[in-house]
Amino acid sequence: MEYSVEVQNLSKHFKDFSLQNVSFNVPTGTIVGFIGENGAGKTTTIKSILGLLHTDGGNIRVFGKDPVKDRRLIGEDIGIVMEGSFFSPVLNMREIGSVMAKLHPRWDAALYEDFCKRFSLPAQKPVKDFSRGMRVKAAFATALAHHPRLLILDEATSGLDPVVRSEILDLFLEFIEDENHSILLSSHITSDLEKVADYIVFIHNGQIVFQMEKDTLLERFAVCKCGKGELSRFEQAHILGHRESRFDLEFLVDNAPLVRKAYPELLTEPASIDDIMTFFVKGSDETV
Amino acid sequence: MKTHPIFGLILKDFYSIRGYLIRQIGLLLVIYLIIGVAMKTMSMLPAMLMLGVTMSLISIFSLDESSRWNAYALTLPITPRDLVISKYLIYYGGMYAVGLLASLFSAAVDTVLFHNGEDAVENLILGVGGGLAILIIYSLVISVDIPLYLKLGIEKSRIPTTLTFLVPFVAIFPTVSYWGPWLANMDWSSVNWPVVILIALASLAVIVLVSCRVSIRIMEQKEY
Repeated sequence: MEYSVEVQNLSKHFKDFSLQNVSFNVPTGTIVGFIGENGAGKTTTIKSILGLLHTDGGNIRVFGKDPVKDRRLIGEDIGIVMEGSFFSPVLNMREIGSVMAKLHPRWDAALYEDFCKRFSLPAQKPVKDFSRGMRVKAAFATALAHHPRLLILDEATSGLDPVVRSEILDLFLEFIEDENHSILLSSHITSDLEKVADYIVFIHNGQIVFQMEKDTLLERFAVCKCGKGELSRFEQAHILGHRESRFDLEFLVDNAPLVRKAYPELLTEPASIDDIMTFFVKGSDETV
Repeated sequence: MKTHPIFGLILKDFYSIRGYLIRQIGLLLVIYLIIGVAMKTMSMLPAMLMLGVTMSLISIFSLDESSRWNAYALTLPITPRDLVISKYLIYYGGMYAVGLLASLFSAAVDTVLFHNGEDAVENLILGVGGGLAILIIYSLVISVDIPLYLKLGIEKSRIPTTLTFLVPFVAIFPTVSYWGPWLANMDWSSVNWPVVILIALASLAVIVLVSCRVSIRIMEQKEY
């Protein structure tokens, strides 16, 4: 399997937070959803992949190249949408296009114009007068117009209304139609990831909890409900976390097929990515 | 046609401050033309325009900071070195272009309005020479300020960079009072001006190059 991004044992230490031995990869031709609670280390990892931070250990390769030493070469092949990091908002789309044409050797002015038309982005209006949705679309038009092979998106769709988000998700699926293209997508909106991601990477407290195919993940994980005090009865269930409500108890398992077979009377529901994240983050301290 | 990304970065900075720069220069031009006519000399105009341009260019750093441009730029086919060199080019290029044009303009206005069209060459030499001297002082100041902006950011560098502008002006007064009599009695015609200017420009070039190297190092060490 070919990888667009390979991260091995990445470590980065701050005063109050550390990334510890973070390892995962982005297989070429796939969309990888990168999830984790606020402060889990998603942005630090992405910044390390982009060569924006000096790492303390580990190895990162983007298309087999070093993100700091080969910055110029990698920059030609990637498109980025990072929340709050873009051109000065006093520029308009025409000016951004003129600048990018000088910055990117493979800049496709016609494609850029197509994206601007498709997203109804006015050419002469300064970006500062755009709505939040329009700004994100402007960032996407700019990220895609040089025919990148990899898109790296850090919270790119957060704060957007469902209509714009749906447009952006369609764009992802179009982009990925070419099997040489890949997307690393960090997002809090896990329902979007359920729609488009092929793999899910979950980071918690600076450590990778898992990287798994999304379909396998949704097949293996389930939320089970039982009465309070019954938990110890389900010996064959591999319980990752639990939470109590007033009337019953819910727990997350990662061996759902076996649990369904062993305890047919137990109420089990497919776990959403949100459930998995919540149980891990909130339930990790109470893991049975 | 393929161009070096530095030209794209310069264009981006120009677009970012174009409106502000034009307003600033326009306003200063009007104010100092009026003052010049009242005082019957345009000698203040180049200095004030250069100061105005330098101040306007600071806003590039401010805009870059607020839009987190450097982090975005470094994901493009751009290196920290490109970012730094483009800043030096736009800063020095902008200042020298405006400085020299303003010096020529003020010399021409002085000649036409206040010298009845006479002594044109002398006025030109004095005007451009004076402008060049101010440019050299500003160049030195900026060679200290750019690394400070890059290292500390606009907010934290506000006090030290203000001092770098104030110190040369404040230093002029004791210098003039101490050296004034000696300077006044000096035989200026014996000075080999071409050599003095050449040495001054060569020294300046070395200082600016060192400043640029320091700035590149700062940007390479920085985390975004």
